[in-house]
Amino acid sequence: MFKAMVSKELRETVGIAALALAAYAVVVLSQTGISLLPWLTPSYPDDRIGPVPFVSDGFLYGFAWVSVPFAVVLGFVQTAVESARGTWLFLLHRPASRRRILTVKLLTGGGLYLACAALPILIYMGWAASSGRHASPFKASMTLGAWLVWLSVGGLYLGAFLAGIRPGRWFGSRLFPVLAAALLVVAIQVVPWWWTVGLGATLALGAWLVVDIFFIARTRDFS
Amino acid sequence: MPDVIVTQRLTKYYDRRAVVDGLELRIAQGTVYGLLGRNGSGKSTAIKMMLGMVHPDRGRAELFGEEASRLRPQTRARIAYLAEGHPLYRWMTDGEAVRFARACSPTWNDVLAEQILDHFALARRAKIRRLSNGERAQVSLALAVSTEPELLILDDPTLGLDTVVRRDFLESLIQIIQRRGRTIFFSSHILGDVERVADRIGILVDGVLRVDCPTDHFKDSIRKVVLEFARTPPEFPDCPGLVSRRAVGRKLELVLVGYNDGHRELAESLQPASIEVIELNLEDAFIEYTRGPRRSLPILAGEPCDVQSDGIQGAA
Repeated sequence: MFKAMVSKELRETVGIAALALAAYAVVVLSQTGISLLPWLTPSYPDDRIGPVPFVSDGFLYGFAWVSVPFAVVLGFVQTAVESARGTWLFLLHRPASRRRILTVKLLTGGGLYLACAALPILIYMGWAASSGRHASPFKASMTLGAWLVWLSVGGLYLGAFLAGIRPGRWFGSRLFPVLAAALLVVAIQVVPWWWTVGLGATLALGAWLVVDIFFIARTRDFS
Repeated sequence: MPDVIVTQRLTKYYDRRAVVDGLELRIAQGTVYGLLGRNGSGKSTAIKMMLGMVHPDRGRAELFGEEASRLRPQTRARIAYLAEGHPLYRWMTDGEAVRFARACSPTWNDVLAEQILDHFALARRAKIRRLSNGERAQVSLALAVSTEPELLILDDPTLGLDTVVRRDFLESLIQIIQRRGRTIFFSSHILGDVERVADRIGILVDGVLRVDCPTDHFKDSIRKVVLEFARTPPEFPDCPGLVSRRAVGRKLELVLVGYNDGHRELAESLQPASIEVIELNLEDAFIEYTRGPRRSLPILAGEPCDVQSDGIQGAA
């Protein structure tokens, strides 16, 4: 059953993942000098050395611009579409606990986001680490900011997942979890003590959202 | 026979209105039970509470002795549920839907699934989003029945189907019932469907279960009495068993549950020119029963059913 459910979740989200990967490809290629969309490619006219990968280039902005909508749409589609089409009744009547069904959804969607979003960082990292690509030294620690965005935007995925499963009379109020998660994600970005505070805050945000998702799924009416 | 479904004082409010109000049901194993009611009478909500999809505000529901909101996966595997409108994943093909349902069911019967799909002439490669409502209902039935359930719960399964498809669907359902002898609980607002299939019925009126008795007993209990007068009809007095009274020209039409000598004497005391007692079919009985002054409807339960001075009491 686990395999069938994972397969179903992947089939329903593969289109979103494909679009996100295409957008990530544009971001990475534009940073490596292959400009598919010239009007989006940053230029550095006064910089003789050129941008330093992950530090003073446009990768982080591009990466965040793709990751945020990708995570939000993915989380929302996984839950809101089930509500809109009435398929919760079909899905939740499968002989598995509600917690297990939601865990499969979260692991599949969360795993898909983390895998797809890690790919451009790893590819760009590989490019930056190759000799002769750019006129600056490169250390793996320079990618920390990208990994911070990668992990904390995962909180937005969970916020959107919660927004989709959360009942609400007014559509706007349903989006509160996304907005709350977005505020926390932004706050985490500006925390200077990443290892001591930022990572802990990210994990705490994720844990809070997961607990809330299971609570809502257990207590709400699927009608 | 043990009870498969038990509900006690099951109640649900939406916007401070009781959509299901104190539902008390006991469905024995092997029963084919039809839950009737007009649109918005609370049938779907009652079924969703029985399956743990909706939480009751008061009361409880049990399936196979387990509280509905805490059904173990093993127990859920013994129950098939066709939700209203047959929600399925529309991007799947028929074959993919079968494979998905099979992977989720420990008691899946491949041979039976193939037989039902062949019976309905459903193509394995057809996308569910391209199927008609009737075909989607047939796929739903195939997925539900192929799990070899001990209890089949269907929420208005023929809703939106045309007459021919509905008849075909019900005949297939009857075949399945006869072959397997399962407990079936289904809701409908189409009386002909219920009459063909159910051996016991319940009628929900504004969330209240007003009738719970064998199907034939319900038909036998309701009579339409037409009193014709040479003048304007007088008022018919309140009495136990009176569902509705309506003056049409010089005629007074009464609908009575458990028509007896007391009713006849009361009618004769008004000195009508003639008294005609009409037997109703299930559809007419249902319409007359549910369009009466709703909150004052007599409650019909069990078998036999006697009219007593304080209302209608049934010995189950």
